[in-house]
Amino acid sequence: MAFDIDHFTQTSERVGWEDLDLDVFRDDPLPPATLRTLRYMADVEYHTVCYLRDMLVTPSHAEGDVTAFMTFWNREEFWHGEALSEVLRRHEISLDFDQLKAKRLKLGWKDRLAPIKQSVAANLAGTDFIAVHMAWGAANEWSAGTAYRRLAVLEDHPVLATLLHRIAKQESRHVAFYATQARTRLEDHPRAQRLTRLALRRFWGPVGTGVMPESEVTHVMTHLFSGPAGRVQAAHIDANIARLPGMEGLRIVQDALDRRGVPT
Amino acid sequence: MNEAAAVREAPVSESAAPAQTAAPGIGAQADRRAAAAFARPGLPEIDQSAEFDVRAYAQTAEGLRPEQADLAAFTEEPLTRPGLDAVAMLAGLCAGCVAQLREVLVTPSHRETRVTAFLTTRAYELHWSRQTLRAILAASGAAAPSHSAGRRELAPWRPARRALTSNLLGHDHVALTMTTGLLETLLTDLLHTRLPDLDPRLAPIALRLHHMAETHAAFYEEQAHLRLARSRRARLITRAGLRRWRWPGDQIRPRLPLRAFGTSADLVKLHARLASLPGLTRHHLVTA
Repeated sequence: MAFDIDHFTQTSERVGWEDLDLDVFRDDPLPPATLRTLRYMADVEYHTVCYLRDMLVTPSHAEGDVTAFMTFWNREEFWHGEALSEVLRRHEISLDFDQLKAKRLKLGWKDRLAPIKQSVAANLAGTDFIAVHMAWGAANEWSAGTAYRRLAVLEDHPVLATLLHRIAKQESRHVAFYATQARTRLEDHPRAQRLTRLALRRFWGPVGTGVMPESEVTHVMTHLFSGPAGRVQAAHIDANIARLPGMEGLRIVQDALDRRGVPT
Repeated sequence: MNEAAAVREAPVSESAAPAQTAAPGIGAQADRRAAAAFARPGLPEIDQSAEFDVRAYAQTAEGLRPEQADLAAFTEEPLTRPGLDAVAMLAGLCAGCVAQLREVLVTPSHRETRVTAFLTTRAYELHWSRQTLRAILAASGAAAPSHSAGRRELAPWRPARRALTSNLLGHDHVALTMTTGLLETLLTDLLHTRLPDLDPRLAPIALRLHHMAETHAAFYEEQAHLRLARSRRARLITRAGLRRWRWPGDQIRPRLPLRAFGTSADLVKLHARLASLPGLTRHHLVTA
């Protein structure tokens, strides 16, 4: 199915929570394990602008549709961060701009060199690199959507679930963009397929890897994807990725769980 | 020039909380600790004195939508050449926003969460401004500038070079980005305020664009002021950067001469506003 960028931009809204009674959390707080996962999710959403930067230094953005998508995608993800921050704030956890900045400062030279690495890789690989980006983006958005829906099920809190489903719904639209782009760029492009397969297999990690401490990645993966029900969700993400041209048999999410010893 | 006279010392943020690290563990206490674990907010690069409320801005920014313009009026009686050129140039400048975002995000400014939240919202606003300006051109029967209009030159190694040099300069480089942001916003706004002279029907659009630009300028101006006032190095980097600054990029078509933007009195006022920033009293505009 083609992705209609005009429809996407015209219907793009910041995620709303004004109609939700977030103050219920003051009397009925969420458990610490959930707060820890929400904190991770908020941090990662705010970090989207850095992923945007990495995409902008490659030829990926050299088309009007892609540019428009990125502008709105970045804004929607920023608001996911804001929405999750509101929930955290009701638990006396404040994610203000200075805290977020301190986090980015802490990333140091690895972060500063990221655009250089991206730019060099993109220029060496040429336009096939766009396929890598799109498949990578699709994998991330599939994971994010699944993670939000999974947390909604696990927590079963009416207010939290409503908010998480709203966020997940927007992530589904992002999936549609990335997956459509990836399919187009991989179909009948064996070199792009080989490159993408290699990149995903060798370098992909759950969203937030490299930005968040490894202890937090493991916590979130264990919280959301352990046990038979969690593993079914992980397998589902892998199945989606594997349906992209040339990605048959990839199980990058399940591999990431195995590496972290997440119980099956 | 007595530079010190222009320097206002901004309050230096106090170290707030001690460093906390996420403690791995499965207990509820460890989870709670990790959920509330923050990097040291007392780092010297943290600025807590900005008054511009970025969250409020992000929340209220809506952008100027095509349906808010009286497009039928332009179909009935199309814009004449001067109006078309000005609208096309503004559309081109809006289109350049994403390329500009790239230029900024590879520099140390990308760590400034207030700045990135601002830029995220500004890009959204400029997307809609551009759509509206393009719709006016289309209604007038003129070809809208292509998607590539306004894109800065995409030399393959340029972002890498820019990332390296700006990051070597470090945190003080943000002052330059904020100052050029202010300068470009003020210049663009001169053209907004000229629109009603070119065609009175552009007045409502011009007013909305002007209000948006004023908000953007307020953000840039405060950020530039705080950073220039605080650091001599920031002032040096900014002065050197401004000497090399060219605007607009080569890709902007049509490109109106600076005199089309406003009278020389307007430019003198703009110079004065820029010169009120710490360390920039002697700066003169350079245009490509």
